[in-house]
Amino acid sequence: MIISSYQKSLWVRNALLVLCSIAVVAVLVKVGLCYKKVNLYKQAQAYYSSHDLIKAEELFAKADDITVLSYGDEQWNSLMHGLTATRQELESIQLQARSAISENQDAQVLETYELYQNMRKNNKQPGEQTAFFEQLSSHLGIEKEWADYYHRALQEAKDQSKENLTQQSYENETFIRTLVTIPDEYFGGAKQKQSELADLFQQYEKTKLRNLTASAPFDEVVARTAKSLRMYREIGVKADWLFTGLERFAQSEINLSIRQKDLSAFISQSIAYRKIEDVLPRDSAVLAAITRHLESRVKQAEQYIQSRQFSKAIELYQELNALMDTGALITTAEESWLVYDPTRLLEVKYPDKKFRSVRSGTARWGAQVYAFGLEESEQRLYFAAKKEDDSVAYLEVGLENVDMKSAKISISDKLGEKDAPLIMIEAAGKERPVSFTGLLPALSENVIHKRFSIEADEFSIIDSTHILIKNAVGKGEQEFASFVLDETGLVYDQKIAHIEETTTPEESGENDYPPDLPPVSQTEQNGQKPYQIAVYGGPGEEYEKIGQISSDSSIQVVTDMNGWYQIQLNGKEGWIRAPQPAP
Amino acid sequence: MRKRIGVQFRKTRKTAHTFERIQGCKRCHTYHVLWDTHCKNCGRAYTPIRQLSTTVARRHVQTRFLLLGLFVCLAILAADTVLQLALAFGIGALLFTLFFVIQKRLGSYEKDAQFIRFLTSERETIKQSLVHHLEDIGADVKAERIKDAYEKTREIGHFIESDTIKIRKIMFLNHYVLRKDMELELDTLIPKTYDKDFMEYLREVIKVQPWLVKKAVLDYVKRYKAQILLLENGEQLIGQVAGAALRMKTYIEQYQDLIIEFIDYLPRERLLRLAKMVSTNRHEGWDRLYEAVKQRVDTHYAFDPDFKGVL
Amino acid sequence: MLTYFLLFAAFVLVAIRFFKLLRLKRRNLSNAEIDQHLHVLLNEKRDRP
Repeated sequence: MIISSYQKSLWVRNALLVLCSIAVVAVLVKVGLCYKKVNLYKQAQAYYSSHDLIKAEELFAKADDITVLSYGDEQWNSLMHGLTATRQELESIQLQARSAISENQDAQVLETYELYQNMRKNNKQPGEQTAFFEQLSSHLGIEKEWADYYHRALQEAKDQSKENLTQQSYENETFIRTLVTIPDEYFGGAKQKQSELADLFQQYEKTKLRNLTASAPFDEVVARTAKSLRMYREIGVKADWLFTGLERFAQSEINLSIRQKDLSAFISQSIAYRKIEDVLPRDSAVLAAITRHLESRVKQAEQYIQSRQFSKAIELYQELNALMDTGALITTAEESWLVYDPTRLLEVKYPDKKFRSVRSGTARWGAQVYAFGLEESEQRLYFAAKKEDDSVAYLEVGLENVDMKSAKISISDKLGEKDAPLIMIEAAGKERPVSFTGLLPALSENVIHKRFSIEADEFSIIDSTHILIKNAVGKGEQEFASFVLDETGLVYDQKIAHIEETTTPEESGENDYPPDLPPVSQTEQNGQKPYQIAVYGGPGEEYEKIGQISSDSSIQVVTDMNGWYQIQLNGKEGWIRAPQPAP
Repeated sequence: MRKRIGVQFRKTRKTAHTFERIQGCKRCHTYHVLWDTHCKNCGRAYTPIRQLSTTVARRHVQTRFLLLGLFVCLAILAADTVLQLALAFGIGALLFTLFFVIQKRLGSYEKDAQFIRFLTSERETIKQSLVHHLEDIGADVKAERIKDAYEKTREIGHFIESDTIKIRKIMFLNHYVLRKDMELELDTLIPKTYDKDFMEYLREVIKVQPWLVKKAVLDYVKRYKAQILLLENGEQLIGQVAGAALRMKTYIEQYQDLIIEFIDYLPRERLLRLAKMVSTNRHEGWDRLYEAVKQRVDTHYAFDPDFKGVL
Repeated sequence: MLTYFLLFAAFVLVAIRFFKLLRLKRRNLSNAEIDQHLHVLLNEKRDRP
């Protein structure tokens, strides 16, 4: 179907009519806006001429928002744009400040304050910009808001400090930081702020310290005061007076502990005080005093060692370990003690066992120091030695066929080698009066060799390998026989003589004992009058006499060594000579 | 000869120009060249085609004006400074004024150009409308409404120069008795070739309205004289045509030969008129004619008292 | 810049219109010519039987 020109012309005309109408409406709108803009502009200029910059800028901004037309003098426009930027910046600062103030965010409030101060600095040159800035800031009342906030903050801080002191509760000390963040002008200047805050803090801290020292333990006082010192350092406030107070307090407390010889108190105070070392200056008198006293206690321990009061020394070292590392000193003390008293080897290793006939010494069997003793109930000999390489070896050997009650230990000076002699155990025998057992510790093999075990009437060492045995069990019965000691053990060598008559073991016992066997010592005293026994500081009369006990008093024997018993006397250690059998 | 019926044809509209006969229906987009005033399909009144064209032309002007307005508005909207704005308004107003002035002074010339353009663009539609009319005529013929068929064909004949249309008209006309008071046509029926029906019609028309015979008819008769003479009473017909030509002096001069040739078949009144004319206008090279008239008068009308003293 | 361009375009529109109308005036069409044109339009093709 052909669309007639008639219709076509109608459609075209109508379409253009619509478009044109829209365009006309748009033009009318634009004209309206232009008119409005020009009006606003002129009003803005009028206000500008009458120096009402705020209104001028406001109207200019409104006019400027209408972008359909550019109008006006370029220079004046750019000036007004500058003012608009200033206004926007100020308004945004005010907004931020308001929200920070409403949320009590000190840091943000200060930030906005500083932003404002920066702006103010930048607007110092005489000119429209500065005039506008001043007009606007007073119009918006920005400064008043900060003033109100900070004055309130100041008052609240002061109240808080008073409250803390009244309640004696120091958990909430945020007011200190708050006070520092309050700008100088609200104190009347930087100097005034410094001095006012210094006074305030000083008064607060002094009262607080006074209260704390009266009510709280030492470490709490120190910790709290240190916390305060740290805070003051962080916020840049000089608090020497607080430090002085703390030192004075700490000094007096520590001196008291020293005077009272309360070492544990001293130590805990020192620990507490050393903990806060980071806030203390290098020349802290208290720290020096602590160090000095500590050194004196160490010297005391050294003296204990010298006076052979090893356990005291070690105890003291252990106590002092909380303050300084006394591990090395303890080790040295232990070594000295070991050297001094090798039986400790056994005591330390087997604290529950009771040893009898303990022997100790140095430089034998490849050991620096050694100790060995009999454990009666277990029928064993325990041997402990500190080797050349400072390691400690513990050996033991069973003595099943040995009568432990009558057993006596000795170290042979003939049998074995000079540095590795045999340990001889003489005890009552089953078939014969005496049994002899020869043991040789082999530290390198970690074993004690039982070199021989023989029962006989008598036992006499001729030399390092030859032994004369009377009436041995087995080979050599009823005869004086010569035995050879070789790698396998005791080997019958030859008969020396025949035994003619039987002799009583009691009579022959005393005279034929090998000279190196000590006389049997009685462990009990029978039918004698009680007498005083001297107690020495060490197993020897060369030691200081530290007391005496009655011979019939019951004593607790810790150990025995070389004819001396170590006992506990009134909680202290002492040594007494082993009681001799009545001749 | 068929039986002719007496009828009164509808009077045909007289217009200065053919296009004035065309009417259009705005809604249906069809054209109508007959006498209806309202569209048969939608009932809307017809609008003369010229008026339609004028409307289109007016809209065209409005469109141009609105386009101008659009440009000016856009120019105003694009203005960035006051100067540009003022310039846009000023020049815009100036341009509007110019446009109006131009329109006022020269606008009328556009109407005619627009009309031609309109006609050209509506040509097919007009043709279709004419075809539609022809279909209606066909229906009329089938329904033996010959009168309506003739009347419609007559209207269509104003637009279409076609022997077919002419012959159809002639055939329709030959159904009817021709009278002096009827609005008859002759020149518009002259076919391009010899047509017997046309001659029949001519014979009838000359009887009632001899003044319709004009140059075109005379030329036609002259051209197809031989065929006409073959008709029954062909000579009499030509004689009557020649007699009708005697109305005007120029015709006598131009068609002397024809008159002389068929002077014998001129009716008595016509001969008398001729004799009077030749006697007064003898000098103008009418010798032969004078001689022929004299001879005829002398041979056949010597004793007619009306002819005495004329030559 | 756009303003000037659009104003120029509008001016061009008016100028074109002016010259077109001027040309038509010179042509000076008459009704008879229109009629003739119509006659030619309708009779160009003999499409009726």
